[in-house]
Amino acid sequence: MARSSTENMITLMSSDGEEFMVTEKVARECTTIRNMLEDDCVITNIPLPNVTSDILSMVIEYCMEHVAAAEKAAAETAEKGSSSAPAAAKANKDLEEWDKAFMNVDVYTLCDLILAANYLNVSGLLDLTIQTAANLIKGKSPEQIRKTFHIQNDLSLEEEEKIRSQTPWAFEKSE
Amino acid sequence: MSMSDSPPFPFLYLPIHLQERILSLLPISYLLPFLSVSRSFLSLLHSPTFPPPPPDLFFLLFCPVSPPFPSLLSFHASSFRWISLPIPSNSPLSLSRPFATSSSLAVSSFPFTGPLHGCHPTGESLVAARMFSTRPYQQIPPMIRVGDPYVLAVIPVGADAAPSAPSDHFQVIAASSSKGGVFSQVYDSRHGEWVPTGEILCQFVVLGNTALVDRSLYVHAYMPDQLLQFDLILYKWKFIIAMPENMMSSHIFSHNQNIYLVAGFEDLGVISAIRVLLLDWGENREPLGWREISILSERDEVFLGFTGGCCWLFHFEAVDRDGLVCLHNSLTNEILFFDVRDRSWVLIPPCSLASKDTKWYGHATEMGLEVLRPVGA
Repeated sequence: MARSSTENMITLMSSDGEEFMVTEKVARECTTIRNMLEDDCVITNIPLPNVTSDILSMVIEYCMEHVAAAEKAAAETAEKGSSSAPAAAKANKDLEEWDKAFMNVDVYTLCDLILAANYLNVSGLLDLTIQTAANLIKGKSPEQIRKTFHIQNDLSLEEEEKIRSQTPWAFEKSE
Repeated sequence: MSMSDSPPFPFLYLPIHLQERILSLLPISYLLPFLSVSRSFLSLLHSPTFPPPPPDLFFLLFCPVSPPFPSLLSFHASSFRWISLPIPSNSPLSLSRPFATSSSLAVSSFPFTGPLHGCHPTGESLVAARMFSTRPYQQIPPMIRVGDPYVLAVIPVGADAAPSAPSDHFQVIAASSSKGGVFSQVYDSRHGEWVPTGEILCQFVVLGNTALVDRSLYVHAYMPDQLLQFDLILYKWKFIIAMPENMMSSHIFSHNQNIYLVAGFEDLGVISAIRVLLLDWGENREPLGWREISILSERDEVFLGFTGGCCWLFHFEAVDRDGLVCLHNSLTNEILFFDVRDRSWVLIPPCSLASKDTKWYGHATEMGLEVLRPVGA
Protein backbone atom coordinates (compact mmCIF):
# COMPACT_ATOMS: atom_id res chain seq x y z
CA MET A 1 0.00 0.00 0.00
CA ALA A 2 2.81 2.43 -0.89
CA ARG A 3 0.38 4.58 -2.78
CA SER A 4 -1.85 5.26 0.18
CA SER A 5 0.61 7.71 1.74
CA THR A 6 0.12 10.08 -1.18
CA GLU A 7 -3.65 9.68 -1.07
CA ASN A 8 -6.00 12.05 0.64
CA MET A 9 -7.00 10.75 4.05
CA ILE A 10 -10.41 11.42 5.57
CA THR A 11 -11.34 11.05 9.22
CA LEU A 12 -14.78 9.60 9.92
CA MET A 13 -16.12 10.08 13.42
CA SER A 14 -18.69 7.65 14.84
CA SER A 15 -21.60 8.62 17.11
CA ASP A 16 -19.59 7.46 20.17
CA GLY A 17 -16.65 9.67 19.22
CA GLU A 18 -14.25 7.12 17.77
CA GLU A 19 -12.18 8.31 14.79
CA PHE A 20 -11.45 6.23 11.69
CA MET A 21 -8.80 7.29 9.16
CA VAL A 22 -9.62 6.08 5.66
CA THR A 23 -8.44 6.90 2.16
CA GLU A 24 -10.66 9.22 0.18
CA LYS A 25 -11.27 6.40 -2.28
CA VAL A 26 -12.73 4.18 0.45
CA ALA A 27 -14.79 7.05 1.88
CA ARG A 28 -16.18 7.75 -1.59
CA GLU A 29 -17.80 4.30 -1.61
CA CYS A 30 -20.39 5.97 0.62
CA THR A 31 -22.46 8.14 -1.72
CA THR A 32 -23.47 10.36 1.20
CA ILE A 33 -19.79 11.14 1.95
CA ARG A 34 -18.95 11.46 -1.76
CA ASN A 35 -21.62 14.15 -2.06
CA MET A 36 -20.19 15.97 0.96
CA LEU A 37 -16.69 15.85 -0.55
CA GLU A 38 -17.96 17.11 -3.87
CA ASP A 39 -19.76 20.00 -2.20
CA ASP A 40 -16.73 20.91 -0.10
CA CYS A 41 -13.46 19.41 -1.27
CA VAL A 42 -11.33 20.63 1.67
CA ILE A 43 -13.36 18.70 4.22
CA THR A 44 -11.23 16.10 6.05
CA ASN A 45 -13.21 15.38 9.17
CA ILE A 46 -16.72 14.00 8.89
CA PRO A 47 -18.90 13.34 11.94
CA LEU A 48 -21.43 10.52 11.44
CA PRO A 49 -23.84 10.92 14.37
CA ASN A 50 -26.09 8.05 13.18
CA VAL A 51 -23.45 5.30 13.11
CA THR A 52 -21.81 3.63 16.10
CA SER A 53 -18.11 2.74 16.04
CA ASP A 54 -18.61 -1.02 15.76
CA ILE A 55 -20.98 -0.64 12.80
CA LEU A 56 -18.84 2.05 11.16
CA SER A 57 -15.78 -0.19 11.35
CA MET A 58 -17.75 -2.92 9.56
CA VAL A 59 -18.94 -0.53 6.85
CA ILE A 60 -15.33 0.60 6.33
CA GLU A 61 -14.15 -3.01 6.21
CA TYR A 62 -16.75 -3.70 3.49
CA CYS A 63 -15.77 -0.61 1.47
CA MET A 64 -12.04 -1.37 1.74
CA GLU A 65 -12.53 -4.93 0.53
CA HIS A 66 -14.60 -3.82 -2.44
CA VAL A 67 -12.22 -0.98 -3.36
CA ALA A 68 -9.29 -3.42 -3.17
CA ALA A 69 -11.10 -5.94 -5.39
CA ALA A 70 -11.92 -3.26 -7.97
CA GLU A 71 -8.30 -1.99 -7.94
CA LYS A 72 -6.96 -5.50 -8.36
CA ALA A 73 -9.26 -6.14 -11.33
CA ALA A 74 -8.25 -2.81 -12.91
CA ALA A 75 -4.53 -3.58 -12.40
CA GLU A 76 -4.89 -6.99 -14.03
CA THR A 77 -6.70 -5.49 -17.00
CA ALA A 78 -3.96 -2.85 -17.40
CA GLU A 79 -1.22 -5.47 -17.15
CA LYS A 80 -2.62 -7.91 -19.68
CA GLY A 81 -4.25 -5.37 -21.92
CA SER A 82 -7.57 -7.08 -21.43
CA SER A 83 -9.21 -8.87 -18.57
CA SER A 84 -9.31 -12.64 -18.82
CA ALA A 85 -12.83 -13.94 -18.34
CA PRO A 86 -11.99 -16.92 -16.08
CA ALA A 87 -9.84 -14.74 -13.81
CA ALA A 88 -12.60 -12.12 -13.58
CA ALA A 89 -15.16 -14.83 -12.81
CA LYS A 90 -12.92 -16.21 -10.06
CA ALA A 91 -12.41 -12.74 -8.58
CA ASN A 92 -16.18 -12.20 -8.60
CA LYS A 93 -16.72 -15.52 -6.91
CA ASP A 94 -14.08 -14.73 -4.28
CA LEU A 95 -15.76 -11.40 -3.55
CA GLU A 96 -19.14 -13.13 -3.32
CA GLU A 97 -17.66 -15.59 -0.84
CA TRP A 98 -16.20 -12.71 1.13
CA ASP A 99 -19.62 -10.98 1.18
CA LYS A 100 -21.25 -14.20 2.35
CA ALA A 101 -18.77 -14.58 5.22
CA PHE A 102 -19.16 -10.87 6.03
CA MET A 103 -22.92 -11.41 6.42
CA ASN A 104 -22.37 -14.00 9.14
CA VAL A 105 -23.67 -11.63 11.81
CA ASP A 106 -26.51 -11.65 14.32
CA VAL A 107 -29.86 -10.12 13.42
CA TYR A 108 -29.28 -6.95 15.45
CA THR A 109 -25.99 -6.19 13.72
CA LEU A 110 -27.67 -6.93 10.40
CA CYS A 111 -30.40 -4.38 11.04
CA ASP A 112 -27.84 -1.77 12.17
CA LEU A 113 -25.87 -2.44 8.99
CA ILE A 114 -29.00 -1.97 6.88
CA LEU A 115 -29.64 1.39 8.56
CA ALA A 116 -25.99 2.47 8.18
CA ALA A 117 -25.84 1.36 4.52
CA ASN A 118 -29.04 3.27 3.91
CA TYR A 119 -27.82 6.40 5.72
CA LEU A 120 -24.35 6.37 4.13
CA ASN A 121 -25.85 5.23 0.82
CA VAL A 122 -23.51 2.31 0.12
CA SER A 123 -25.62 0.67 -2.56
CA GLY A 124 -23.70 -2.63 -2.71
CA LEU A 125 -23.85 -3.08 1.05
CA LEU A 126 -27.53 -2.10 1.16
CA ASP A 127 -28.39 -4.68 -1.54
CA LEU A 128 -26.34 -7.32 0.30
CA THR A 129 -27.89 -6.69 3.72
CA ILE A 130 -31.43 -6.41 2.35
CA GLN A 131 -31.02 -9.70 0.47
CA THR A 132 -29.60 -11.33 3.63
CA ALA A 133 -32.57 -10.13 5.64
CA ALA A 134 -34.96 -11.47 2.97
CA ASN A 135 -33.21 -14.86 3.01
CA LEU A 136 -33.56 -14.97 6.80
CA ILE A 137 -37.33 -14.75 6.62
CA LYS A 138 -37.88 -16.77 3.44
CA GLY A 139 -39.81 -20.00 3.84
CA LYS A 140 -40.74 -19.41 7.47
CA SER A 141 -44.11 -20.07 9.06
CA PRO A 142 -45.95 -17.19 10.78
CA GLU A 143 -44.87 -18.59 14.18
CA GLN A 144 -41.23 -18.74 13.10
CA ILE A 145 -41.40 -15.21 11.71
CA ARG A 146 -42.80 -13.93 15.01
CA LYS A 147 -40.02 -15.67 16.87
CA THR A 148 -37.29 -14.32 14.56
CA PHE A 149 -38.63 -10.78 14.75
CA HIS A 150 -39.82 -10.91 18.39
CA ILE A 151 -43.25 -9.79 17.23
CA GLN A 152 -46.38 -10.08 19.32
CA ASN A 153 -49.37 -11.51 17.48
CA ASP A 154 -52.05 -8.84 17.75
CA LEU A 155 -54.53 -10.58 15.44
CA SER A 156 -57.55 -12.29 16.90
CA LEU A 157 -57.96 -16.02 16.43
CA GLU A 158 -60.87 -15.38 14.05
CA GLU A 159 -58.88 -12.92 11.95
CA GLU A 160 -55.97 -15.32 11.70
CA GLU A 161 -58.27 -18.17 10.76
CA LYS A 162 -59.88 -16.06 8.05
CA ILE A 163 -56.51 -15.07 6.54
CA ARG A 164 -55.27 -18.64 6.55
CA SER A 165 -58.44 -19.96 4.96
CA GLN A 166 -57.97 -17.70 1.93
CA THR A 167 -54.74 -19.41 0.85
CA PRO A 168 -54.45 -22.50 3.05
CA TRP A 169 -51.66 -23.97 0.89
CA ALA A 170 -49.35 -21.09 1.83
CA PHE A 171 -49.53 -22.10 5.49
CA GLU A 172 -48.91 -25.80 4.99
CA LYS A 173 -45.60 -27.14 6.18
CA SER A 174 -43.16 -28.32 3.55
CA GLU A 175 -43.30 -32.06 2.99
CA MET B 1 -28.75 -15.48 26.42
CA SER B 2 -32.42 -15.49 27.33
CA MET B 3 -34.74 -14.39 24.55
CA SER B 4 -36.85 -12.24 26.87
CA ASP B 5 -33.80 -10.15 27.85
CA SER B 6 -32.78 -9.37 24.30
CA PRO B 7 -34.15 -6.28 22.62
CA PRO B 8 -36.76 -6.90 19.90
CA PHE B 9 -35.48 -7.51 16.39
CA PRO B 10 -35.52 -4.02 14.94
CA PHE B 11 -37.19 -4.99 11.64
CA LEU B 12 -40.35 -3.06 12.50
CA TYR B 13 -38.24 -0.06 13.51
CA LEU B 14 -36.64 0.09 10.09
CA PRO B 15 -38.14 2.82 7.92
CA ILE B 16 -41.14 1.52 5.96
CA HIS B 17 -39.33 1.82 2.62
CA LEU B 18 -36.60 -0.54 3.86
CA GLN B 19 -39.15 -2.99 5.26
CA GLU B 20 -40.86 -2.94 1.88
CA ARG B 21 -37.57 -3.44 0.05
CA ILE B 22 -36.79 -6.53 2.10
CA LEU B 23 -40.25 -8.04 1.68
CA SER B 24 -40.43 -7.18 -2.02
CA LEU B 25 -37.55 -9.61 -2.69
CA LEU B 26 -39.80 -12.47 -1.62
CA PRO B 27 -42.07 -14.25 -4.11
CA ILE B 28 -45.74 -14.33 -3.14
CA SER B 29 -45.75 -17.81 -1.62
CA TYR B 30 -43.15 -16.65 0.92
CA LEU B 31 -45.06 -13.41 1.56
CA LEU B 32 -48.42 -14.99 2.33
CA PRO B 33 -47.39 -16.29 5.81
CA PHE B 34 -46.64 -12.67 6.77
CA LEU B 35 -50.32 -11.82 6.50
CA SER B 36 -51.08 -13.70 9.65
CA VAL B 37 -48.02 -12.57 11.62
CA SER B 38 -49.37 -9.28 12.92
CA ARG B 39 -51.55 -6.33 12.04
CA SER B 40 -48.60 -4.22 10.90
CA PHE B 41 -47.57 -6.80 8.27
CA LEU B 42 -51.16 -7.21 7.18
CA SER B 43 -51.48 -3.51 6.42
CA LEU B 44 -47.99 -3.32 4.89
CA LEU B 45 -48.76 -6.08 2.37
CA HIS B 46 -52.20 -4.72 1.58
CA SER B 47 -50.84 -1.24 1.01
CA PRO B 48 -51.33 -0.07 -2.59
CA THR B 49 -47.72 1.16 -2.63
CA PHE B 50 -46.31 -2.30 -1.90
CA PRO B 51 -44.04 -3.15 -4.86
CA PRO B 52 -44.86 -6.20 -6.99
CA PRO B 53 -42.89 -9.27 -5.86
CA PRO B 54 -40.75 -11.33 -8.24
CA PRO B 55 -42.86 -13.84 -10.21
CA ASP B 56 -43.48 -17.04 -8.29
CA LEU B 57 -43.47 -20.00 -10.65
CA PHE B 58 -45.93 -22.85 -10.23
CA PHE B 59 -46.17 -25.80 -12.61
CA LEU B 60 -49.84 -26.81 -12.77
CA LEU B 61 -49.47 -30.48 -13.53
CA PHE B 62 -52.54 -32.53 -12.69
CA CYS B 63 -56.31 -31.97 -12.49
CA PRO B 64 -59.32 -34.21 -11.91
CA VAL B 65 -60.31 -36.30 -14.93
CA SER B 66 -63.38 -34.17 -15.62
CA PRO B 67 -64.46 -30.68 -14.56
CA PRO B 68 -65.22 -28.93 -12.31
CA PHE B 69 -61.65 -28.58 -11.09
CA PRO B 70 -61.69 -27.42 -7.46
CA SER B 71 -57.90 -27.41 -7.34
CA LEU B 72 -54.78 -28.26 -9.33
CA LEU B 73 -51.87 -30.40 -8.22
CA SER B 74 -48.96 -28.08 -8.69
CA PHE B 75 -45.23 -28.26 -8.29
CA HIS B 76 -43.52 -25.26 -6.74
CA ALA B 77 -40.01 -25.51 -8.12
CA SER B 78 -38.32 -22.98 -5.81
CA SER B 79 -39.39 -24.81 -2.64
CA PHE B 80 -39.33 -28.21 -4.41
CA ARG B 81 -42.72 -29.30 -3.15
CA TRP B 82 -46.17 -30.28 -4.33
CA ILE B 83 -48.98 -27.89 -3.50
CA SER B 84 -52.68 -28.25 -4.16
CA LEU B 85 -53.77 -24.85 -5.48
CA PRO B 86 -57.50 -24.16 -5.18
CA ILE B 87 -59.17 -22.46 -8.17
CA PRO B 88 -61.77 -19.79 -7.36
CA SER B 89 -65.13 -21.42 -8.10
CA ASN B 90 -66.25 -18.53 -10.32
CA SER B 91 -63.17 -18.83 -12.51
CA PRO B 92 -63.59 -20.19 -16.05
CA LEU B 93 -60.53 -22.29 -15.26
CA SER B 94 -62.52 -24.43 -12.88
CA LEU B 95 -64.60 -25.55 -15.87
CA SER B 96 -62.06 -26.22 -18.57
CA ARG B 97 -58.37 -26.70 -19.15
CA PRO B 98 -56.86 -23.61 -20.80
CA PHE B 99 -55.72 -23.70 -24.43
CA ALA B 100 -52.73 -21.50 -23.68
CA THR B 101 -51.08 -19.76 -20.74
CA SER B 102 -48.42 -17.12 -20.30
CA SER B 103 -47.22 -15.28 -17.17
CA SER B 104 -50.41 -15.40 -15.05
CA LEU B 105 -52.76 -15.26 -18.06
CA ALA B 106 -54.81 -18.14 -19.38
CA VAL B 107 -57.07 -18.43 -22.43
CA SER B 108 -59.80 -20.93 -21.99
CA SER B 109 -63.27 -21.76 -23.29
CA PHE B 110 -66.28 -20.83 -21.23
CA PRO B 111 -69.96 -21.70 -21.59
CA PHE B 112 -71.55 -18.60 -23.05
CA THR B 113 -74.07 -17.06 -20.67
CA GLY B 114 -74.91 -13.76 -22.36
CA PRO B 115 -77.16 -13.14 -25.39
CA LEU B 116 -76.41 -15.57 -28.21
CA HIS B 117 -75.52 -12.85 -30.71
CA GLY B 118 -72.20 -13.54 -32.38
CA CYS B 119 -71.45 -16.50 -30.22
CA HIS B 120 -69.67 -19.69 -31.22
CA PRO B 121 -72.25 -22.24 -32.50
CA THR B 122 -71.46 -24.67 -29.70
CA GLY B 123 -72.46 -22.07 -27.13
CA GLU B 124 -68.91 -21.69 -25.89
CA SER B 125 -66.74 -18.65 -26.15
CA LEU B 126 -63.13 -17.81 -25.42
CA VAL B 127 -62.17 -15.94 -22.28
CA ALA B 128 -58.92 -14.62 -20.86
CA ALA B 129 -58.47 -14.88 -17.11
CA ARG B 130 -55.78 -14.22 -14.54
CA MET B 131 -55.16 -17.57 -12.91
CA PHE B 132 -55.82 -17.80 -9.14
CA SER B 133 -57.23 -14.31 -9.14
CA THR B 134 -60.79 -13.32 -8.37
CA ARG B 135 -60.58 -10.54 -10.94
CA PRO B 136 -63.28 -10.81 -13.61
CA TYR B 137 -62.31 -12.59 -16.82
CA GLN B 138 -62.37 -10.92 -20.22
CA GLN B 139 -64.57 -12.22 -22.99
CA ILE B 140 -62.90 -12.75 -26.39
CA PRO B 141 -65.11 -12.52 -29.50
CA PRO B 142 -65.48 -15.62 -31.73
CA MET B 143 -62.60 -16.44 -34.03
CA ILE B 144 -62.82 -15.95 -37.81
CA ARG B 145 -64.45 -19.09 -39.16
CA VAL B 146 -61.87 -20.54 -41.50
CA GLY B 147 -61.65 -24.28 -41.02
CA ASP B 148 -61.60 -25.25 -37.37
CA PRO B 149 -59.45 -22.63 -35.62
CA TYR B 150 -57.49 -23.44 -32.45
CA VAL B 151 -55.51 -21.25 -30.06
CA LEU B 152 -51.72 -21.44 -30.38
CA ALA B 153 -50.56 -18.94 -27.78
CA VAL B 154 -51.47 -16.04 -25.54
CA ILE B 155 -48.93 -13.28 -25.05
CA PRO B 156 -49.19 -10.42 -22.56
CA VAL B 157 -48.60 -7.10 -24.28
CA GLY B 158 -45.87 -5.04 -22.66
CA ALA B 159 -44.74 -8.01 -20.58
CA ASP B 160 -41.12 -7.48 -21.59
CA ALA B 161 -41.07 -4.09 -19.92
CA ALA B 162 -42.46 -5.20 -16.56
CA PRO B 163 -42.76 -8.96 -16.17
CA SER B 164 -43.82 -8.68 -12.54
CA ALA B 165 -46.61 -6.21 -13.24
CA PRO B 166 -48.22 -7.41 -16.44
CA SER B 167 -50.66 -5.09 -18.12
CA ASP B 168 -54.15 -6.37 -18.72
CA HIS B 169 -53.63 -6.43 -22.48
CA PHE B 170 -52.70 -9.46 -24.49
CA GLN B 171 -52.58 -11.03 -27.93
CA VAL B 172 -54.02 -14.43 -28.83
CA ILE B 173 -52.65 -16.25 -31.86
CA ALA B 174 -54.80 -18.90 -33.53
CA ALA B 175 -54.46 -21.17 -36.56
CA SER B 176 -56.56 -23.49 -38.67
CA SER B 177 -56.14 -25.67 -41.75
CA SER B 178 -57.29 -24.05 -44.97
CA LYS B 179 -57.27 -25.01 -48.64
CA GLY B 180 -53.84 -23.63 -49.41
CA GLY B 181 -52.14 -24.41 -46.11
CA VAL B 182 -52.53 -22.92 -42.65
CA PHE B 183 -54.66 -19.85 -41.98
CA SER B 184 -53.69 -17.69 -39.01
CA GLN B 185 -55.41 -14.94 -37.07
CA VAL B 186 -54.55 -12.68 -34.13
CA TYR B 187 -56.71 -11.10 -31.47
CA ASP B 188 -55.32 -8.01 -29.75
CA SER B 189 -57.25 -7.01 -26.62
CA ARG B 190 -56.40 -3.34 -27.28
CA HIS B 191 -58.37 -3.46 -30.54
CA GLY B 192 -60.96 -6.03 -29.52
CA GLU B 193 -61.16 -7.97 -32.77
CA TRP B 194 -59.62 -10.89 -34.64
CA VAL B 195 -57.63 -10.01 -37.72
CA PRO B 196 -56.47 -12.46 -40.41
CA THR B 197 -52.66 -12.60 -40.42
CA GLY B 198 -51.71 -14.45 -43.52
CA GLU B 199 -51.38 -18.05 -44.58
CA ILE B 200 -48.51 -20.46 -44.40
CA LEU B 201 -48.40 -22.11 -47.80
CA CYS B 202 -47.70 -25.61 -46.58
CA GLN B 203 -50.07 -28.36 -45.45
CA PHE B 204 -49.08 -29.07 -41.85
CA VAL B 205 -51.19 -31.55 -39.96
CA VAL B 206 -51.14 -29.37 -36.87
CA LEU B 207 -49.21 -26.52 -35.28
CA GLY B 208 -47.94 -27.49 -31.85
CA ASN B 209 -46.29 -25.75 -28.97
CA THR B 210 -44.76 -22.28 -29.16
CA ALA B 211 -41.87 -20.29 -27.71
CA LEU B 212 -41.49 -16.53 -27.52
CA VAL B 213 -38.28 -14.61 -28.23
CA ASP B 214 -38.58 -10.82 -28.32
CA ARG B 215 -41.62 -10.15 -30.51
CA SER B 216 -41.32 -13.39 -32.48
CA LEU B 217 -43.36 -16.46 -31.76
CA TYR B 218 -41.65 -19.72 -32.73
CA VAL B 219 -44.02 -22.55 -33.57
CA HIS B 220 -43.36 -26.28 -33.70
CA ALA B 221 -45.27 -27.49 -36.78
CA TYR B 222 -45.96 -31.20 -37.21
CA MET B 223 -45.97 -33.33 -40.36
CA PRO B 224 -43.88 -32.08 -41.94
CA ASP B 225 -41.90 -31.26 -38.76
CA GLN B 226 -40.70 -27.69 -39.09
CA LEU B 227 -39.85 -24.73 -36.92
CA LEU B 228 -41.81 -21.66 -37.99
CA GLN B 229 -41.52 -18.07 -36.88
CA PHE B 230 -44.39 -15.60 -36.59
CA ASP B 231 -43.50 -11.92 -36.36
CA LEU B 232 -45.88 -10.42 -33.79
CA ILE B 233 -45.39 -6.88 -35.08
CA LEU B 234 -45.51 -7.42 -38.86
CA TYR B 235 -47.82 -10.46 -38.60
CA LYS B 236 -45.62 -12.43 -41.04
CA TRP B 237 -44.77 -16.13 -41.13
CA LYS B 238 -41.35 -17.53 -41.96
CA PHE B 239 -39.89 -21.03 -42.27
CA ILE B 240 -36.86 -21.32 -39.99
CA ILE B 241 -35.52 -24.87 -40.07
CA ALA B 242 -36.55 -28.50 -40.29
CA MET B 243 -36.82 -30.44 -37.05
CA PRO B 244 -34.36 -33.31 -36.48
CA GLU B 245 -35.45 -36.77 -37.59
CA ASN B 246 -36.45 -39.77 -35.46
CA MET B 247 -38.12 -37.73 -32.72
CA MET B 248 -40.68 -39.55 -30.57
CA SER B 249 -41.97 -36.60 -28.53
CA SER B 250 -40.75 -33.06 -28.74
CA HIS B 251 -41.21 -29.61 -27.23
CA ILE B 252 -39.64 -26.26 -28.03
CA PHE B 253 -38.85 -23.59 -25.45
CA SER B 254 -36.98 -20.33 -25.16
CA HIS B 255 -34.60 -18.92 -22.59
CA ASN B 256 -32.33 -15.86 -22.77
CA GLN B 257 -33.22 -15.18 -26.42
CA ASN B 258 -32.35 -18.74 -27.42
CA ILE B 259 -34.57 -21.42 -28.91
CA TYR B 260 -34.23 -24.95 -27.57
CA LEU B 261 -35.76 -28.28 -28.48
CA VAL B 262 -36.17 -31.16 -26.05
CA ALA B 263 -37.05 -34.46 -27.67
CA GLY B 264 -37.05 -38.19 -27.22
CA PHE B 265 -35.10 -39.93 -30.01
CA GLU B 266 -35.93 -43.39 -31.23
CA ASP B 267 -33.87 -46.23 -32.53
CA LEU B 268 -36.00 -48.87 -34.31
CA GLY B 269 -39.16 -47.73 -32.56
CA VAL B 270 -37.60 -47.74 -29.09
CA ILE B 271 -36.63 -44.54 -27.28
CA SER B 272 -32.87 -44.47 -26.84
CA ALA B 273 -32.20 -40.95 -25.54
CA ILE B 274 -33.71 -37.62 -24.53
CA ARG B 275 -31.76 -34.74 -25.98
CA VAL B 276 -31.82 -30.99 -25.55
CA LEU B 277 -30.79 -29.11 -28.69
CA LEU B 278 -30.02 -25.44 -29.13
CA LEU B 279 -30.77 -23.64 -32.37
CA ASP B 280 -27.56 -22.00 -33.60
CA TRP B 281 -27.81 -18.75 -35.54
CA GLY B 282 -25.32 -17.26 -37.97
CA GLU B 283 -24.03 -13.70 -37.90
CA ASN B 284 -26.91 -12.41 -40.01
CA ARG B 285 -29.44 -14.22 -37.88
CA GLU B 286 -29.77 -17.09 -40.34
CA PRO B 287 -30.51 -20.48 -38.75
CA LEU B 288 -27.49 -22.80 -38.91
CA GLY B 289 -28.71 -25.97 -37.24
CA TRP B 290 -29.51 -27.80 -34.02
CA ARG B 291 -26.65 -28.38 -31.58
CA GLU B 292 -26.89 -30.84 -28.68
CA ILE B 293 -26.32 -29.28 -25.26
CA SER B 294 -27.47 -32.12 -23.03
CA ILE B 295 -28.35 -35.79 -23.35
CA LEU B 296 -30.00 -38.38 -21.15
CA SER B 297 -29.15 -41.81 -22.48
CA GLU B 298 -30.19 -45.35 -21.64
CA ARG B 299 -27.23 -45.62 -19.28
CA ASP B 300 -28.48 -42.79 -17.05
CA GLU B 301 -30.37 -43.72 -13.92
CA VAL B 302 -32.64 -40.70 -14.38
CA PHE B 303 -33.52 -41.89 -17.90
CA LEU B 304 -34.51 -45.32 -16.57
CA GLY B 305 -36.50 -43.74 -13.75
CA PHE B 306 -38.36 -41.53 -16.18
CA THR B 307 -39.09 -44.08 -18.88
CA GLY B 308 -39.82 -46.80 -16.33
CA GLY B 309 -38.01 -49.27 -18.56
CA CYS B 310 -40.91 -49.11 -21.01
CA CYS B 311 -39.39 -47.70 -24.16
CA TRP B 312 -41.86 -48.82 -26.85
CA LEU B 313 -44.94 -46.73 -26.24
CA PHE B 314 -42.90 -43.86 -24.91
CA HIS B 315 -44.51 -40.44 -25.14
CA PHE B 316 -44.06 -37.31 -23.10
CA GLU B 317 -45.94 -34.06 -22.75
CA ALA B 318 -44.13 -30.95 -21.61
CA VAL B 319 -44.55 -27.51 -20.14
CA ASP B 320 -41.83 -24.93 -19.65
CA ARG B 321 -41.24 -21.55 -18.08
CA ASP B 322 -38.17 -19.46 -17.49
CA GLY B 323 -35.69 -22.10 -18.65
CA LEU B 324 -37.26 -24.89 -16.59
CA VAL B 325 -38.86 -27.69 -18.59
CA CYS B 326 -41.16 -30.23 -17.02
CA LEU B 327 -41.62 -33.52 -18.90
CA HIS B 328 -44.45 -35.90 -18.11
CA ASN B 329 -44.33 -39.54 -19.13
CA SER B 330 -47.95 -40.17 -20.10
CA LEU B 331 -47.63 -43.91 -19.46
CA THR B 332 -45.98 -43.94 -16.03
CA ASN B 333 -46.93 -40.42 -14.79
CA GLU B 334 -43.27 -39.80 -13.90
CA ILE B 335 -42.20 -36.15 -13.84
CA LEU B 336 -38.76 -35.04 -14.99
CA PHE B 337 -37.37 -31.50 -14.84
CA PHE B 338 -34.62 -30.07 -17.01
CA ASP B 339 -33.05 -26.76 -15.99
CA VAL B 340 -31.35 -25.09 -18.95
CA ARG B 341 -29.36 -22.76 -16.67
CA ASP B 342 -27.23 -25.54 -15.16
CA ARG B 343 -28.32 -28.26 -17.63
CA SER B 344 -29.42 -30.51 -14.81
CA TRP B 345 -32.04 -33.29 -14.93
CA VAL B 346 -34.09 -34.03 -11.82
CA LEU B 347 -36.72 -36.71 -11.32
CA ILE B 348 -39.49 -35.40 -9.06
CA PRO B 349 -40.84 -37.59 -6.26
CA PRO B 350 -44.44 -38.56 -6.97
CA CYS B 351 -47.12 -36.38 -5.44
CA SER B 352 -48.59 -37.87 -2.29
CA LEU B 353 -51.74 -35.80 -2.86
CA ALA B 354 -52.39 -37.38 -6.26
CA SER B 355 -55.16 -39.87 -6.68
CA LYS B 356 -55.57 -42.31 -9.57
CA ASP B 357 -58.27 -40.14 -11.10
CA THR B 358 -56.12 -37.30 -12.25
CA LYS B 359 -54.96 -36.30 -15.68
CA TRP B 360 -52.22 -34.14 -17.08
CA TYR B 361 -53.01 -30.43 -16.93
CA GLY B 362 -49.66 -29.21 -18.23
CA HIS B 363 -49.60 -25.47 -17.70
CA ALA B 364 -47.61 -23.04 -15.59
CA THR B 365 -48.33 -19.72 -13.95
CA GLU B 366 -46.35 -16.91 -12.41
CA MET B 367 -48.23 -15.92 -9.32
CA GLY B 368 -48.13 -12.34 -8.18
CA LEU B 369 -49.99 -10.05 -5.83
CA GLU B 370 -53.34 -10.81 -7.47
CA VAL B 371 -53.97 -13.58 -4.94
CA LEU B 372 -53.62 -10.96 -2.20
CA ARG B 373 -55.72 -8.19 -3.62
CA PRO B 374 -59.41 -8.84 -3.60
CA VAL B 375 -61.81 -7.82 -6.40
CA GLY B 376 -61.68 -4.17 -7.38
CA ALA B 377 -58.42 -3.49 -5.57
